[in-house]
Amino acid sequence: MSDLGVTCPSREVIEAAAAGAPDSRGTLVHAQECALCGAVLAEISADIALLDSVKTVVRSGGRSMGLPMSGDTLGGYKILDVIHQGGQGIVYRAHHEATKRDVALKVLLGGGFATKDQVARFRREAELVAHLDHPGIVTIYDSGVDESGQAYLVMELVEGQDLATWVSEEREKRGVREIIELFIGICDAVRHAHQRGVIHRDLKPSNIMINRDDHARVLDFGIAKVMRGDDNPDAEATGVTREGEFVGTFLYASPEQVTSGSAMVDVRTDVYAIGMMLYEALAGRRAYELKGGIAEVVRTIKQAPIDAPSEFDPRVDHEVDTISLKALTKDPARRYETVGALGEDLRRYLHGDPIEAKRDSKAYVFRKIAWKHRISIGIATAFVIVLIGSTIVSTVALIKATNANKASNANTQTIIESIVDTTLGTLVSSDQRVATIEDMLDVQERSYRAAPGIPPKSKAAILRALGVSNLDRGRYEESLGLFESVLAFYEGGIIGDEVAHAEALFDLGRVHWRRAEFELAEGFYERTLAMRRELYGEEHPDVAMTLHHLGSTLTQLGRYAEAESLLKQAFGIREHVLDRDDPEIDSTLNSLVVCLREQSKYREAIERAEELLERLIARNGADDWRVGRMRHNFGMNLADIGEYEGAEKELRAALENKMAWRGAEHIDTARTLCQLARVHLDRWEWEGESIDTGEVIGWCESAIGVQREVLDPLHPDLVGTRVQMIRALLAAGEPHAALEQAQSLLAEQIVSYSAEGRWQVGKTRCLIGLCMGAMGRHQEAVRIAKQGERGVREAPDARDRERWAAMRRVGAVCRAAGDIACAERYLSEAGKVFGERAG
Amino acid sequence: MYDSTRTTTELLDGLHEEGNERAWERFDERYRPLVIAFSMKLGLNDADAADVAQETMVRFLREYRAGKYVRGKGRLRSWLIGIAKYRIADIRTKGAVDRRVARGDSAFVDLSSNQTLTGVWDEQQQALVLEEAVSRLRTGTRASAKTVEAFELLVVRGMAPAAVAERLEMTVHDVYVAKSRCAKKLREIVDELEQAYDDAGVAG
Repeated sequence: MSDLGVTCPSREVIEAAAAGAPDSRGTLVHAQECALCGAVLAEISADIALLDSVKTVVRSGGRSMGLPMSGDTLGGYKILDVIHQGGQGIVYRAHHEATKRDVALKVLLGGGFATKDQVARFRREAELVAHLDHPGIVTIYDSGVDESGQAYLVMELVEGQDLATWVSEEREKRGVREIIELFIGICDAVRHAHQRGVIHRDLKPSNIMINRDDHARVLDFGIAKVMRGDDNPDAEATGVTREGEFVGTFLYASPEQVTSGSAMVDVRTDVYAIGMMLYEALAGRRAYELKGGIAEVVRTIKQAPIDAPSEFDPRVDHEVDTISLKALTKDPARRYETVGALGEDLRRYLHGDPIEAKRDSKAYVFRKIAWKHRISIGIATAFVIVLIGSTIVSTVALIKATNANKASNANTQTIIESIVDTTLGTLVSSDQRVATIEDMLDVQERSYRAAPGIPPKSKAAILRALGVSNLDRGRYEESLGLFESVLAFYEGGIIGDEVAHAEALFDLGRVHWRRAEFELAEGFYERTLAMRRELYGEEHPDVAMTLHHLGSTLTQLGRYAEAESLLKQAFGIREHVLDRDDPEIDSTLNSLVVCLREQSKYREAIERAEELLERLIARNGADDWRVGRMRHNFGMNLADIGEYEGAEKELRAALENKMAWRGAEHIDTARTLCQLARVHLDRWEWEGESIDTGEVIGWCESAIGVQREVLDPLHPDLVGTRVQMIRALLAAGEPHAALEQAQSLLAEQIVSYSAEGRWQVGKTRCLIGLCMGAMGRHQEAVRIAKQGERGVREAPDARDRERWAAMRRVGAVCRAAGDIACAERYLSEAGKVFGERAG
Repeated sequence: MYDSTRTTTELLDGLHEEGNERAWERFDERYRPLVIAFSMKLGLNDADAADVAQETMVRFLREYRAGKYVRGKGRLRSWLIGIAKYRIADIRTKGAVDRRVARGDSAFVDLSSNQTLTGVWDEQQQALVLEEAVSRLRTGTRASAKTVEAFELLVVRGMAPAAVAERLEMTVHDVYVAKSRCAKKLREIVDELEQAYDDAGVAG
């Protein structure tokens, strides 16, 4: 009721009246007399003034004007909502009634911003991308111009975030390998575009979308350039950008892009931009900052030196540094020649193969190959064995091919002789062995593909043999192409051989696995499994092998429970159908141990590891180097659950083995020394036992000496040993020396790690707390230990064991400070954290 | 997107820190579009306007860090206009004929009149604030999609209330209610954005 004694109209009614709704006169009269309603009307009038200015701004060329809004239909697409509004265009989520699918619909912003150039680029994007068909490139479904002249582009809708957001939110949490996997996907997509003559020229984080499965999609080919032949720009296409005009984003622009104009731009420009994004993802910062006017910006891009990413993130190692810096070389001639080459090097790194960026150093290549094959009888021998192995694989496969079709006997015989001759010739005559065998495979492949008259079955077998050789050589791209060609023979119905068909599917699974494309691998293994079960039933070695590979793939995908079940099936079949000593059984056991450990099923993992160790000893003898490696891992697992006696026994045996195979000055040996020290120090710290501190300090000194020679100061192995040294000094009653070392470690960690929040930093703080406590500085000790424990607890990647240790340490420091309640609280929490899981 | 939670004054404080990229990004996001819009209003094409903005922003940062611009002693607007106008004048001199043809009268705005330039600046700032407010209304408020649609059809597109009601299957009364709610929300957003510019200074 108003003060006039009548019922006031609702606010909505006043709104309607103010906006001129019919039959509102009574309301307006009332508002003039009623103070309350008068105030509401005044407010509405003010709104009207505001809304008029909105209308004026928006209609007089405001950038939002003329754009579709939700509910509108454009070319048969119903606009749902806005996904992204950038400087040039706006992207909506839209629904296509006819196909019932949601899409992304992009339109250009209107007003003075839509220049003729922009409209031309926009239309050309549709034409260019229509020719690209790759899972890493956003698919363009449709494009057109509506009756009002609004051009639009309809694309696949990617649910996820752009690379810039992904990097800022995820890079700290993700490992270097995950970052590299993501960039391999980006390289594959851009490479696909290059192979079809399209250079993107504006690759930047906002043009890369990452979906929820961590797969990258490249978009926005608005300023892409078309090549014809090797390097000839399409005259019509480049006309879109005026000669000499810079197009693209300065931050990701290559030196040649900001100086020479579009005519000099080739695929290496995209290599540079990907290199720049990779650098940011690895280092957590830009390779250089752009400051000053245009001239200074150009000078920076052309001349600024770039520090290695590892300078800013210690997780990055020298090989990744090398790859990233090679992609960012100022001189395009020294950069990776293609995006494919960059992607392949990233793949090689993931698989532990020698990277091309370091091919210049022969010593590096030899070292890498020897390391990968774990053969410690001399680098030269290792190399010869690898070569012979490769030849044998090729030859055996070719002999199979020959037998498969006697009619082509003459041809295949020539091929085998050719391979054997060339390889043997290579072995005795050349320094450039790696390059030679690869070149040879290229020549062979070309001649087989071209060779007329070879029956399809033989041709498929020969291509497969070459695929296997390439796979062994780490040439996954080539291998993939060959295996795909082989599969085409079977899928296309040219050859009807189900056994070989299943094998072709399996090969593709393997090559995708090696390329770390686990989801693709899963698909091929699934198909292989179904086919082989159909062919052989359950109890067959090939079925077991497929189960094993599928299980290992699911482990990689983090689907541990499914993986465990498959691996156990594979193990069961293999135990049943293979010889007891067959190494395939070891392989499945090993995969099972890894899978169990990932699920914190420590006890079962240890049981299986023990079983595996027994098998390795039975087959290879107790002195075999593989046994040494397994003993080390086994010992470490036993120490994790507090079985120190067994752990020490295994680690001492591992040490003996490694001293024999690797020698005292090898990082593998150092790693075992560190673990041995750790076991002794665990007994001292957690069990209260007395230990020979002189011996433990000696181990630590010896290990640190070796590790400092070859590892970065903050390499996890070296940090691990430095931590043991601090504990050893504490155990020896030298808290001052221990504190000095701990403080030095903490300072290095804080300076080098890009952010706090690493559990390693928290651990060092806990140790500093212990040192201070031992020196009687209780108050400081409690404060810093608690700070450290909090750091460990909150770090997402800290293992249970580390959380437990941090709590126990705070408990110990509190007890020493006389705060028994605090001590009991932390010790009881510690029991909850690890006690349950370890069991 | 504007970061409305931090005023220009706070962002400027952040710029003093050498490594504070976030403050710079926010500051850049807020003022770069304004310098571009300002330059275009003065007759430049989008590419030239983007160059002017790049140089203005970078030079401002350098001068600010060198202590040449003191927040309490003058408006940021005047300082940025002071940097931008010489770049604009250079470009206009070089390409005067083309631009008169291309852009019409705006090429003749007198660059020597501070009052005129300030007027253009404020007008562009107001326009950007309103555009941003509308954009936020669409994407960043709790108002239902239908409410915002009704508002846009009625106010931005100027559709008749009855037509809006029919299209959205609402009553005419509800269309007014929707408009009222959105206007209220819009005012709040505009106030918030204007406060974020926070450019009173001491002397104009």
